[in-house]
Amino acid sequence: MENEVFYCNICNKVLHPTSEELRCIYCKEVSVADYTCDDHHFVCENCRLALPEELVLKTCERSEIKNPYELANLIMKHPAIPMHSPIHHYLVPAVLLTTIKNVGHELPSRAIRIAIKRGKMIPYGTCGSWGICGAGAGVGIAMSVLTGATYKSDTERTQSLDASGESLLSISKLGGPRCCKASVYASLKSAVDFLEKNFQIKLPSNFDGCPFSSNNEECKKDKCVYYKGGH
Amino acid sequence: MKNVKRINVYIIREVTKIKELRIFIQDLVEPSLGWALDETIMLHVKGGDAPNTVHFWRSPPSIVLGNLRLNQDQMSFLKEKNVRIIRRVTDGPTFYADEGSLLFGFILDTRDPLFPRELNDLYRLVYSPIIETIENFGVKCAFDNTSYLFVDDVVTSQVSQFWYYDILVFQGVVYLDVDVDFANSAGILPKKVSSLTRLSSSKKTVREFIEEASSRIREKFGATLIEGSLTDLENKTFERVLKTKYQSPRWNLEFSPPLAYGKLLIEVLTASPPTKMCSQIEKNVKEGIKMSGNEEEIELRIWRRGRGLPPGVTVTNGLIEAAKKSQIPAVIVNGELKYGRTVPTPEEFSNIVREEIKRIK
Repeated sequence: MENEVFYCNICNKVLHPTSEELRCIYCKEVSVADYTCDDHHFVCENCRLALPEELVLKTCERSEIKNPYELANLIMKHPAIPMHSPIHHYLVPAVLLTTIKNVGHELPSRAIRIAIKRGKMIPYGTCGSWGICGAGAGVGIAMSVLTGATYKSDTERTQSLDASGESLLSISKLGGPRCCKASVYASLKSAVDFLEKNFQIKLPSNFDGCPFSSNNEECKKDKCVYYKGGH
Repeated sequence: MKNVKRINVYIIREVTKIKELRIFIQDLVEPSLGWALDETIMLHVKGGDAPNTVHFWRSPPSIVLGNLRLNQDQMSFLKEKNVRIIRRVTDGPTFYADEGSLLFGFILDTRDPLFPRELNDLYRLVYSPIIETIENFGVKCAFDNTSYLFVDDVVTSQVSQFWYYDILVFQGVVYLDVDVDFANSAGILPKKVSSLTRLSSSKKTVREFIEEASSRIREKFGATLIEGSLTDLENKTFERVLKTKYQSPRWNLEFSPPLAYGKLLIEVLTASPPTKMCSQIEKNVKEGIKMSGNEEEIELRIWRRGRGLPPGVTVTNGLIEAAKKSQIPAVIVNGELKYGRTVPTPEEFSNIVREEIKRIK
């Protein structure tokens, strides 16, 4: 390990050893840090070893981030989240509900946990095999948890279906092969529009492009609307 | 090193930024020996104890597979015709080789700033001494940037590449005077080939071709040639690479590479940077290996989650499982996930090592 160089998973700057007390960027707990970068990013030992579901839950429950893209990118930059995986299916509703809460709207109790549980039921590859991208369906899950919709509901059920439907259409316009990151961004965009139009919930949505293209062997680069070049 | 000991070895002495460039020239050798030699050199160039190397050689009739798997009929046909089946480390389209062809391999550490960063430029540079020598037959060639050198619509030379970390293995064949009728009728090569003797009235022996190509290599890389020899370490590695890979049907026919050339492969996957638990597992694994008394029989690889794997490294099922299930830290022994999120004691791990060594022997 001597002479080995480690990089910050948030900003990719070189990490250096430290003994400062720092707040973990994911779980927000303060502890004596072992490594940090020049921007003082720190990931605690528990979060470095976290399972994806633990990470999404802990981060969302404790985050104050209001921009869904920013929160999604923070979680997706953690090495527990692969480039493409069903984790994105529950990441989308968890992120949406967290940011809805963070802009001042109350959520039903255990909303994020319920959303994760539902999103986890969607297997991988359903975009191709069912015609339903899990990230897009995640928008419907978020709306359902937010409104308490069930299969017997009227308006709430319609809203969940509309939200998923609009999100799926926006994902279909991206073309293939699938990119879970692009599907997350398209789902979030669709959800932000849907929330403003139907619930008057306004989420900040500044977004400067996908930071993952260099890690994605199948990146469509200029053919992707989220590609920001330079990779 | 068996037959390979008899080869002529030259070293291109440093006159540019390339410090050493050996040239190995072998006459007719068994395909397994020639292809194993390239991979051996690759491992040692990566290890920093061997110089950049160029290898010219010939083999008896053989089908040299890249990423193709032959069917039973094709295998029976080739056996009947006494044509060897071998798989090279570089993937890509199948080659044909016989006494009338010239095989070559460049094994280069591309961290040297002399080499172009753009792959197309790099491949063209490396291939250029061969292309120019072929063009000196009076034919006009077109390189497709990765695999084929065409004269009109037939292939007169083929190349393929493999990356192992930053080491480029660039292997190829020149169809000087091959059995074109067999090569094209066997139904295995993806494109029609033609020999230079059919395409040009100009004639050159293999020896003359190598001399001319060597002179162009000297010119391209600005280097001079001197004789050298394989190191003892390379000789040892060669035996293992040959036995566990190039003489094995699992590699040649089934495209299944040995994990660590007959050594016991132990992988440790940790967080990046490692946590205290990760450092403990790393320490205990190293101590366990030492306690087992089998250090020489073991290859230890340490991986950090999220940092990716270098090119050319075989990804084991256990590593995939540990990463997918977020079993961090993890210990994978010969491709099997043994510990995930638990730390073995050095004693416990040394017993596992002893048992596994016994098993693979």
